[in-house]
Amino acid sequence: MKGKFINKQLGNVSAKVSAFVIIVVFIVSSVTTLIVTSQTYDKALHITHAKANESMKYVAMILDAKLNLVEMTTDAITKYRFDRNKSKANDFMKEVLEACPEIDRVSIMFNENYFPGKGREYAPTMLRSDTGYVTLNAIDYGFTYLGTDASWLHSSKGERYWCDFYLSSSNKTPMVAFSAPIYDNDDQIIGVLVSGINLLWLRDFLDSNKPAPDCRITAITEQGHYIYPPDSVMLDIVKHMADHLKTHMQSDDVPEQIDNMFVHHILIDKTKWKLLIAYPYESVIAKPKQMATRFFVINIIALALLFVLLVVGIYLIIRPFTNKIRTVTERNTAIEKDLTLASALQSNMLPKKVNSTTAVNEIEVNAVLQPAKIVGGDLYDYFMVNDSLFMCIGDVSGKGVPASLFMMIVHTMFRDIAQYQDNPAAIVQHMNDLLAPKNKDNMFCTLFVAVLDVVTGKFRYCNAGHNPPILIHKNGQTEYMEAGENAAIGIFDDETYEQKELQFHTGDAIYLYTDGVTEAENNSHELYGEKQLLATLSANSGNGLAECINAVKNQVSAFVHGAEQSDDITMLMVKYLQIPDALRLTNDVAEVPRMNLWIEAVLKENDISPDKLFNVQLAVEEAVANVMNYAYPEQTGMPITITASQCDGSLRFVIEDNGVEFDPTKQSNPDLETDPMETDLGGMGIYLIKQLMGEVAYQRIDDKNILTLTLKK
Amino acid sequence: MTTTVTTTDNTTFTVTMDGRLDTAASQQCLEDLKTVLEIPGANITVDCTDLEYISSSGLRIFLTLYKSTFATKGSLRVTNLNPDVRNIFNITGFSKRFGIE
Repeated sequence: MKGKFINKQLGNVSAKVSAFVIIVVFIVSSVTTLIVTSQTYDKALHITHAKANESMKYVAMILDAKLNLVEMTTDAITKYRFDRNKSKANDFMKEVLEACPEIDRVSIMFNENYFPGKGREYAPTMLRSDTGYVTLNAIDYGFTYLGTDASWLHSSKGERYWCDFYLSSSNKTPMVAFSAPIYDNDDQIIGVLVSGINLLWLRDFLDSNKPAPDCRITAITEQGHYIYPPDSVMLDIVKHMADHLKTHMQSDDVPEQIDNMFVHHILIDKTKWKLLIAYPYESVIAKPKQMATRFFVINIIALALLFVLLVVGIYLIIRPFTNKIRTVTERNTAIEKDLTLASALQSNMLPKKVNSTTAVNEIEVNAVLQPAKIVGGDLYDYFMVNDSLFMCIGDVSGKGVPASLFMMIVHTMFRDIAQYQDNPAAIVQHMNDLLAPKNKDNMFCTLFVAVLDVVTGKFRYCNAGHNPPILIHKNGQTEYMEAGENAAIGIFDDETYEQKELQFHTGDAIYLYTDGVTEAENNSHELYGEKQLLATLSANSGNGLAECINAVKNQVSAFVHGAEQSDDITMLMVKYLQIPDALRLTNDVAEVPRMNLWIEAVLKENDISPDKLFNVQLAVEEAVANVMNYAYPEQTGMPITITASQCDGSLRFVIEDNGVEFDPTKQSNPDLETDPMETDLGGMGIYLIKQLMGEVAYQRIDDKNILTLTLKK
Repeated sequence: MTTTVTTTDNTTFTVTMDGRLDTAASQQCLEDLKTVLEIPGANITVDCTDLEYISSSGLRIFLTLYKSTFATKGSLRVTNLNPDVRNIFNITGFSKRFGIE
């Protein structure tokens, strides 16, 4: 059972430790992942932006180079002067195509009616074909330029001009063309040379230079024509950026962010075209996000595996200690059990109640013992032998089990010796003689032993090194008893013990205690102290002993304020009470001795000569015997109350009972004179009462028999 | 209290009473005297040297002894009463009946 329990405990411990480790690792790795992921996102953005910029710039550069080539070629050819009679348009055009492979087609638009035989408009055109060059007149294909064609309009006035993008009339290919004027030898413009390049390659080129597959691309001319038509997403972006595109006549270094899309914008200087490339934020971070998610999942799986490994590992590591722990636990349990039994044994040794039948309630005793540990080294005891109350209080040196064993010895010895010895000094002497010679461990016990004669109030005591008890007078005044100079018992085998004597008066009380009370220490190492104790005892002198002891106990516990109790706390109080004015009996003849003790005490209290004791006791006893015989003929345990009081200088006893009506005064005297053989002595009781006391009166009030006896002065 | 009965010949008895013969003690006392009371014609001497106290129930015991000896022609002597007890014997008229010494 225990083994299983411990194994389970170990399992719990390893699971807890593992869980702790896993949680820590999880938190650390999650935070790291978050930081790394966030940095990866930034990096990914940065890289994508750079890549996009780079590819756009590359495209722009290539485009620019091509356009440059076209410009240069065109410029170079138009440097030649055209002679209407000698020069051939085809030579010019062939020169262009041969000089610059980028140029796909070239045309010359001659001035109106330049060649009279060629008509008003003449525009020879040379195209590349698979076999070589194809020459044609564009006019034949419906082309017209005078007053309509932008290249013509600009260049026929001497301007070098990039026309807007257009779709070729022949096969609808996207084209752009550069035009420049052609001069004759007289520096007169005779026509315009137009070099056209096919832009289909640009679309492919843009596609092949996309920085990411889901990039959206468009290329827009200054006039707003699309060289690369946008899809719907890009179209929205273009609309969104319309103002920006109009005003920003330069490339943006940093991409614009529009609705989760990053947009790069590059300007082609020569043609004033704009290249736009856009990609969603999501696609940029897609890869790092995927990586982070994968890492997270792998992390969780790894942690789960680690947890299992840790639980098993820790369990295996600490398992060898199980036996040790089990042994220690079992031993501890056994010791605890023993200590609990020992503690019970100790507390069973303590007296529960004074046998008060002989004492007529003339004393009140109360005590408390609060051990600091489970077993203590303090002791107290009290018991009645005849009319004497024996009491003792002691404190064994040291604490814990050794002290408690020594304490048991002392306690038992005291009980034994007190059975045949009623002299306190002799009791202590005897105990010391037995303990001191064999005491190798130098244990000792401070002890206070006292015997109170309950009838006379004589208090004899012997103090063996104990703190002197406190005498509390009826008026609340307190004083220490004379301590004497006796050593604690168990130390010197030649010590002689002396005793002292006090006279108790009614209402006097004594307070016996151990130093656990006065030396109770709080957390600031202050002591409860004697001054406080005396003040509390004085303030509680009018209260019952239990209240008084509780008051001290509560004050001490309030004083230490939660500090650990360092010493056993023991208190024993005895109060020598006033004789009670009323005595309650039951209708049992065994109560008679107690009643007689009470009567004795009452007479003493009222300063009545002891000579009268016999008569008073007899009279009251006869009255009570009558009640027992006649008022309560059947029942047992019925109450009889006797009240004593002074009335006009006479002592009066009132005997009350709840029995059947019985008036003893109506009984006739027994006639012993005439016929002693016949009489049963009926009426003898009342006869004696009348003879011994002055007055006898009977009343029946509220179903009570009330007999009043008044003692003659 | 204690009641002791001694005899040498089974006709002459000495009863010694010691202590307080009160209501509580009388029943035991009567019990202790049973053997004497059962013997007809017994000559009984009650030594009251140590008898401290007597109540009417104690007197009843003396009356029982008296009746028993009187009826069987025996004798009863009561000796060494202390003054208090003697006073009770006097005021109750017992003194006149018994041979008190």
